[in-house]
Amino acid sequence: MSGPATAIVEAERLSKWYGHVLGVSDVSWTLPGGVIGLLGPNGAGKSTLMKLMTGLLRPSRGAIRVLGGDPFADAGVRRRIGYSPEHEHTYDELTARELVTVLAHLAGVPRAEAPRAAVAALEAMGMTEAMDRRVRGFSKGMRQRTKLAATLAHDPELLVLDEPLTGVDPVARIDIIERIKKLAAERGKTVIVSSHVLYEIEALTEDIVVIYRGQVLAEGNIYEIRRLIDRHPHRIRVECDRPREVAAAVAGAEHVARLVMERRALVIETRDPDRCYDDLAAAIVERGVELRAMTSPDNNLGAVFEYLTGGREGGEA
Amino acid sequence: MTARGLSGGQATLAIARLAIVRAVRGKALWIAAATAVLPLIVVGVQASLGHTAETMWQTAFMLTLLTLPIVPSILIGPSLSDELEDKTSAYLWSRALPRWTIIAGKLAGLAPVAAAIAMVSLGVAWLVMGGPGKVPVDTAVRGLAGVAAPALVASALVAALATLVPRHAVAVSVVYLLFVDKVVGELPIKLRYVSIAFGGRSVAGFDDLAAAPGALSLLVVGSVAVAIAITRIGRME
Repeated sequence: MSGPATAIVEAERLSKWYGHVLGVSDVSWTLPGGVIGLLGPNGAGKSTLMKLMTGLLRPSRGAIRVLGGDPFADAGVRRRIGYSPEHEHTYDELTARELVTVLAHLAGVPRAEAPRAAVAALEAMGMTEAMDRRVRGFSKGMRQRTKLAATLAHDPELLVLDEPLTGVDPVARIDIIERIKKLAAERGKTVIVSSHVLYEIEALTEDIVVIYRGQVLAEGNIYEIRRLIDRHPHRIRVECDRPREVAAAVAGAEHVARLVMERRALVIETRDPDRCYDDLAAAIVERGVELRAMTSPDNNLGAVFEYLTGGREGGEA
Repeated sequence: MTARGLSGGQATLAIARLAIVRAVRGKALWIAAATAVLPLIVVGVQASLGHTAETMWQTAFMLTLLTLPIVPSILIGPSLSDELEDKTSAYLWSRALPRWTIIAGKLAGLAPVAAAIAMVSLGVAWLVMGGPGKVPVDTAVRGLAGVAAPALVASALVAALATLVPRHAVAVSVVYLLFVDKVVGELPIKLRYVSIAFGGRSVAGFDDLAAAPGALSLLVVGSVAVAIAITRIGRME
């Protein structure tokens, strides 16, 4: 992934630490356009890197340039960026339409044009029916779609999406992935997406940057890293109203290595996550199970990264 | 549709509107408004017991001043500290806005609401006790100014405290305004001029105090508080 002449993001010996805690360490790299996945376990430095890209944080050392400017100091650069933070907090008292409208206006869309821009963005995210409901009552999937609409309502060139699929149910996950891909393909946006789940990133793009312990561990095509990760069992945690029924439905599948029941949740260890996600989606939909969250604990990914670094900090893959 | 960027004034107005809508749809505004009923109840009881107009006016003013630690604290405190604690500030900071507009917008939207609650509380109490027939209009106007100005300054102080201690903004603000500020305002030394309650009493003309020094001290305290809040939010990450 060597950078072309018009790099979207350029980091040069970039470091950020919080007191004694290192967020990003001596990162130098260039990101071209397209859809790029930032992959790494929780605490690896993905969110810190994204906050540096979007001007929320100032580098402790080194420099970062986004779209040719300094995102912390230059408001003109931030106007060209759309950022969706990792957390799900929003202004819950507002309806989705009001929320996206006010955030579009604050991003620089004239007040008279902001409502139209908000509706278009919400429609693009499949929120037409729910846009006049208050965000407080939204599921995680609806919140993520609303956040994504707020990210693109001011028509930015660069979308920075921090864990946009966290906690989203399988059906919504597929839908959101397709919409993000469409944004890049049809509107020519550059999209940077972070996740600690390889299979989410894989569904979005082949171009990945692997972050671990604040450093860029590897970058390039996804298949090699996938091969390494597939050697390790992948854990999926399903929170729903009838976890035993879901467990019974998938228990016989050959890809399931282990099932652990928790209170109102089920944890599955699998060696074939793709098939496992498919089987889970089918079991949940067929039985009408109420799904609250489906997450992938990243211990397995951390183990792979430890393997990649050979137990050293910041080794090259 | 073109994103052109907002001026500081436009951004301040947009954030002010957002703050008001959130306050109206949340609980804080209604809790704040409920505290404004306290002076009315006490004055109503005093009127039924035949207290003098002077006593009732003094009671109404002091009780309204007493609600000041509560009203700005629960209106402005959470509005800022929730933004910082819940990280919704990321939505604002990642946009092309000068950071000072966040403080300016919150204060422009909510400080007048805090002042209006105090003024309505005292104004209605004045009418309940007999209006111009009992307390002259000029005295009532000074009294209204004497609760409105401290409400605005207390709002600025709460904003500063919310940027200093976001996690405990409401508690620290209430404790400071209710105990420290009140006690300092009663001291027989010049230090009392840093007290918001003392400034309010001066503006209202209680205790034979001149209005100008009190108003000036309120202006200085408010300006320092706003400066602290803006400096802090500009450095936050």
